[in-house]
Amino acid sequence: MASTFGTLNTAYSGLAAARAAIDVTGQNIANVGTEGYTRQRVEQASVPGTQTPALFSKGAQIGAGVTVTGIARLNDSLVDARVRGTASTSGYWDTASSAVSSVETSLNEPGASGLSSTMNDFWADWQNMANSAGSTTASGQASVLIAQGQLVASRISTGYTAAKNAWSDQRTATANAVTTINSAAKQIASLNKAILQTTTAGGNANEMMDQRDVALTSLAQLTGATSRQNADGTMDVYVGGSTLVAETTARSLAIAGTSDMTAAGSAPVHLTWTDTGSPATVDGGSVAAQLATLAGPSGGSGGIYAETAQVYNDLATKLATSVNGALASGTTPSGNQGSPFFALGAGPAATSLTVVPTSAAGIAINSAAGSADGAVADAVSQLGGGAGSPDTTWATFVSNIGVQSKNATTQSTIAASAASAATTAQTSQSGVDLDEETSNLVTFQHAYQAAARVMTTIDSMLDTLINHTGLVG
Amino acid sequence: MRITSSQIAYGSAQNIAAAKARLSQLQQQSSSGVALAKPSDDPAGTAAAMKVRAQQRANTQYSTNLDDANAWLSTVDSTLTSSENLVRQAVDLTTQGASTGGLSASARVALANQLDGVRADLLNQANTKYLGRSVFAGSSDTASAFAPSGAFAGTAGTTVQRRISGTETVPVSADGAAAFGAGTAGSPSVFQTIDAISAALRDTTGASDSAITTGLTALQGGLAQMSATHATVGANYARVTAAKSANANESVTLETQRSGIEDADTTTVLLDLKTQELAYQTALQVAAQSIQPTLMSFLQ
Repeated sequence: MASTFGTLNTAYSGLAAARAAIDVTGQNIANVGTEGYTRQRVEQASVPGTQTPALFSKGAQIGAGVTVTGIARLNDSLVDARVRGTASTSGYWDTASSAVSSVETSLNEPGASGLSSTMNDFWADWQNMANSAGSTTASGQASVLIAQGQLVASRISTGYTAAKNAWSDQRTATANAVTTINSAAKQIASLNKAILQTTTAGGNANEMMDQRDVALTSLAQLTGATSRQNADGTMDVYVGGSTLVAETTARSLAIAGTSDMTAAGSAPVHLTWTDTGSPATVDGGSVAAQLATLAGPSGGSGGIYAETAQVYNDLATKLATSVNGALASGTTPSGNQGSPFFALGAGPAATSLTVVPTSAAGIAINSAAGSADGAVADAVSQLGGGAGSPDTTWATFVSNIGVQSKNATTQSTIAASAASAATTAQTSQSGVDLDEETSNLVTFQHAYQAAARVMTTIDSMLDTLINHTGLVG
Repeated sequence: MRITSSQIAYGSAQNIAAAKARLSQLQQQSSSGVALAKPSDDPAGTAAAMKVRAQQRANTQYSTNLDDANAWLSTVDSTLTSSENLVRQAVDLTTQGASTGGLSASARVALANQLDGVRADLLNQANTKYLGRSVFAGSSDTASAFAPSGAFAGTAGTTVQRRISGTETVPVSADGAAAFGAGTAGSPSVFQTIDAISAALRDTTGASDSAITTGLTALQGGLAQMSATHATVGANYARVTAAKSANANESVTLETQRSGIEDADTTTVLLDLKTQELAYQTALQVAAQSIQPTLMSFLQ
């Protein structure tokens, strides 16, 4: 039989358990909007009555109340892994598509403000030049043509410089991302240490695990990092198959390679491990996309910025070669043969393209000395529509960028919807539901009140026993 | 499946964002009227649009060229008309001079003086310029088609060409050597013929009277040649006129093509926009209804 005061203790354990449950419910409600918070639940177990082995039965033993065995963190590691996996893919395509679409927007095509429209005007001005051959309007038309030629050159140069600057910005952004990766790795390592200490001491490390998961998800989004939980509760993190965090120690990455786009092909931008100096591979996440956009040109499939710059260079070279080639057989009004219209200087073709003539006298528009037929100017004006013309190079590039941008956007949308589905599954599993918490709160409140009531009942029973037993009348 | 408050909030936010993105795209299309705003909207269409825009620009230029060709040909046409009149005048004067016996020496000199005047006017016509360029000199850059001596200074057999389409050019000048004669020993120019007649008229001895008759035949031949050149100019003029109307048609066709590729179909876009507005408002309304209440609202 239980002792006289045994039931009081049982009721007290109920009070304590209900209060703990209300505390945890309070914590859940307080964190309903906290990023990465995983709902928690009090794990409780009933306490069996004391069984004393004896020769003779002492009758049925009544349980001795309830005990709180722990506070469970209700996550699903499979769903969490899915969130990180989809975050990696979505991070990659997000960055890739925004890089392509920024290049795409900078083209201003199709429309009146694109480079193609400037080139169309340039070719048309050659017609006007042919029309004005030998007439009084020649010098005026020549000024227009020269200005238009300079405009074409300056637009090509501007496009090239914009691609080059975008490359530099992207490299800076990648360097910043590497800093973020390193600080996240350090944070995970120190959280691992704190979790290990807390759980070893029997404490509750749920909130630290939440923080660690948030850091892991951001690492996955940046690098496609994967993780493995150790038996002691710590977590190892891998990037591209190499260890980034091993229990309580973190390694760090550094960005290496050229900081000038023109050398992107010969000294590509890459990541290295600072401790060993060996190159690090990143197989997913936004950093992988950033490194891909920083790659050198490779026949149309290289890094977007270097490829764009390459097209501007090709365009400048082609423009100079074809126009000067057509003018080679021509004669200027003053009788000089084959003076070129464009000149290419040192450095990238796109930025060194200049217009040579300064007046009508320097443009070789006629087919022979003493003639004013403008036939060569007419031939130049027809270069624009031909196969292999600078315009064709440009049009091919523009529609190529369109295809790339469309693909990247589609991929990005798909990846985003996969990520969103995974996040939905995660919030479904680990998110706080206010209705559930409210009904729990009511349940626990009633449990507390009922346990208190048991105490009152026992108290009143003992009062009867102590103060009223044996009194008659 | 467990449904949580944060899940509903997250899902609503995603749906609202998606609806808003579609709404924004449609609003952009309907306000700008452009469906193909960037290459990724339609990569194949972009290539076509750029091609059509290049054709449009070229077509506009051909229209400018046609206007220029028109101006050249009208100049040549009116010049030839007055030149023909002048040659006819010279023929009349020579015919009077050829009627032997009836004329006094002073009358013949007067005729010769008149012929000299006609020659000066005719030389002026032959050296007509359009925008500083001699219209009868062919492709030559010479300042005057005919020297004061009456010799042709341009390049015979060549013409000034204007491009009226991607594949076609039209001559806009007339060959001075054909119209007025080359001025060489074998084929004298009308100016040299008139010079000869004028000299014969002044010759009071009558020894050169046969030269007047020869000159008259030569002048009539010259007039025929001038008319032949004039006919060629007329044919070119007709070509330019026809090309102008073809150019205008082409311009409409190209604009229709460009609009078909680039512009948004207003009716469809507006209809889609209305539908999308409704979808967006519904998403907002549903979110407002589903996020607000919790069990807490009903417990006392």
